[in-house]
Amino acid sequence: MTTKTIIPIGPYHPLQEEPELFKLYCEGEIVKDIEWETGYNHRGIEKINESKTFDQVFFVVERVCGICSTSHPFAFANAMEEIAKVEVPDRAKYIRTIIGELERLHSHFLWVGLAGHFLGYNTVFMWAWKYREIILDLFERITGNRNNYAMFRIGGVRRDIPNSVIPEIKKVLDTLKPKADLLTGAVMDDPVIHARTKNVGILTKDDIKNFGAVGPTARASGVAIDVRKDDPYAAYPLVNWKVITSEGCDVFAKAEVRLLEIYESISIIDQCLTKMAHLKEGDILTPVKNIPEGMGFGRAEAPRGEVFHFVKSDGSNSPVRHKIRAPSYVNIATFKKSCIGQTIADATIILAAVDPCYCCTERMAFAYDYYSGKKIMNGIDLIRISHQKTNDLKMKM
Amino acid sequence: MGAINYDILPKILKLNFDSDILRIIIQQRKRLVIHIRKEALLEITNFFLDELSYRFIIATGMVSDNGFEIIYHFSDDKNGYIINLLTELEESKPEIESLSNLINAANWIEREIHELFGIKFINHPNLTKLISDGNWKDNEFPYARKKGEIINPTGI
Repeated sequence: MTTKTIIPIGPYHPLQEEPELFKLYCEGEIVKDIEWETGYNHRGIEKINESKTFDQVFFVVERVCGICSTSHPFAFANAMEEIAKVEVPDRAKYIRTIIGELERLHSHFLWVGLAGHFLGYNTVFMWAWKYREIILDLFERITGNRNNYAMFRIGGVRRDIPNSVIPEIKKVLDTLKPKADLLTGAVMDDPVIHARTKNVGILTKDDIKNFGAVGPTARASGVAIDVRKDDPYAAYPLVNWKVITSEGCDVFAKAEVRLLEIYESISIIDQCLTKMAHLKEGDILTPVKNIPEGMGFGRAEAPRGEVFHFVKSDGSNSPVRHKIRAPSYVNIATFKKSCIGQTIADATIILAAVDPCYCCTERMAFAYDYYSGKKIMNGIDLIRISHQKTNDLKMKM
Repeated sequence: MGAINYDILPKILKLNFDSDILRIIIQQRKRLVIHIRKEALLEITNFFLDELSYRFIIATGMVSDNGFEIIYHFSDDKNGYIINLLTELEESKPEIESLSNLINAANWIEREIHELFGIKFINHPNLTKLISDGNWKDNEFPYARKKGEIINPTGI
């Protein structure tokens, strides 16, 4: 009789928008089934927002996720501006786009670092997070905060980026490009990373459609969906850029898409800064007196995919119903497909590949014997197995 | 079907599902809300997914004057439209056919609406609690209340 083991991963991840517990049902080394539990940190934000004014809601939704803290206000602002039928000034559009893209940059750097760590490339981890600091410092320079920037409001943005700061930002962006080259080279040219990530965690186009997956997870399977292009908002239709896709369908393709998106983001920010310099300083807000009755459907492309906000208002100063759909909600469901049939050593990188803010695994995961209930390994052991596999591959090559 | 002409979409829908469609509201540019009879939900969703290649985004449960409303949000990624199907459920018997067997993306959100509003999804493969397992009373539904109404779900 084969021994069945349950390996739970989770549940608490302070950095995560959706805390989760994965139960991997394993036979030997192979994952046979996966179950998902959540709600450990359910804060009832949708219900809380019904008792907040529209201006206060921005600060609440900013705290839905710690990493992509701008994408939720972005989508909410889009929804509210649909209801109020206001046009945002061009300068505010550029500022919104710059903040959104800087966030994508730091989030992708963070992901590359974590993915490197899970594979046993701690140098990549250290590098990527060191370069991410540059972007966070830039955020502090522009908005006053390293995270939770509080830049958005209905009709525009709260703070201007003065024209005098633009050359400074451009200089930082120029220093980022060689760092991105370095990371891309480290990932793309390494035979061991190829061996660890190619043909691992396959998601076909049909799977993407069935699970409704979005963002880099979908684009890495050749499904070219990107809200920035499909349903343009802010300054995205005003600048030149392209949607990055890959036909690989595996973990490597997801890394490739994210790495190439770093260059697109740098290019978008650069164009926005150039165009913004010609606009009048301080023209960043269209005043909105009151919100009429109606429904608003706002979307924004977060680093992890489409964020969807639905707001229903009844003419008062707070929403009647506010629905939030974060991208991980649909992306995490794909584990049911991508993990099954893979080895435990690959499970960590497959789970990390959709970028569910995966930071505290080592403190949370334990493996229990299915029958005796005895602890056999924890999260550190899981990562150790993953490192071991990389080392074995290195020895062979 | 490739790109659709949105001027004629209401006509196409009327042609295919005449009596099932109660009202079509063009909320804003690129945003449609279609009121349907709840019995026709599966058929129309099937038409959206297969014929028009829409993507299922999410569903929203709501408390309305006469009971509950569920809005199913679909995205037309080629044209940037959001198409919404609005169904009304009566308060005494909130039941609706599940979409989970058509599309996997509806699985979790139906479980979530079930536990927050107490709406039953017929033929759902696994209609258990999704987000508040173990902490809430079984018959208290935290979101199924009118504005201002206070409940004490944990019983403390």
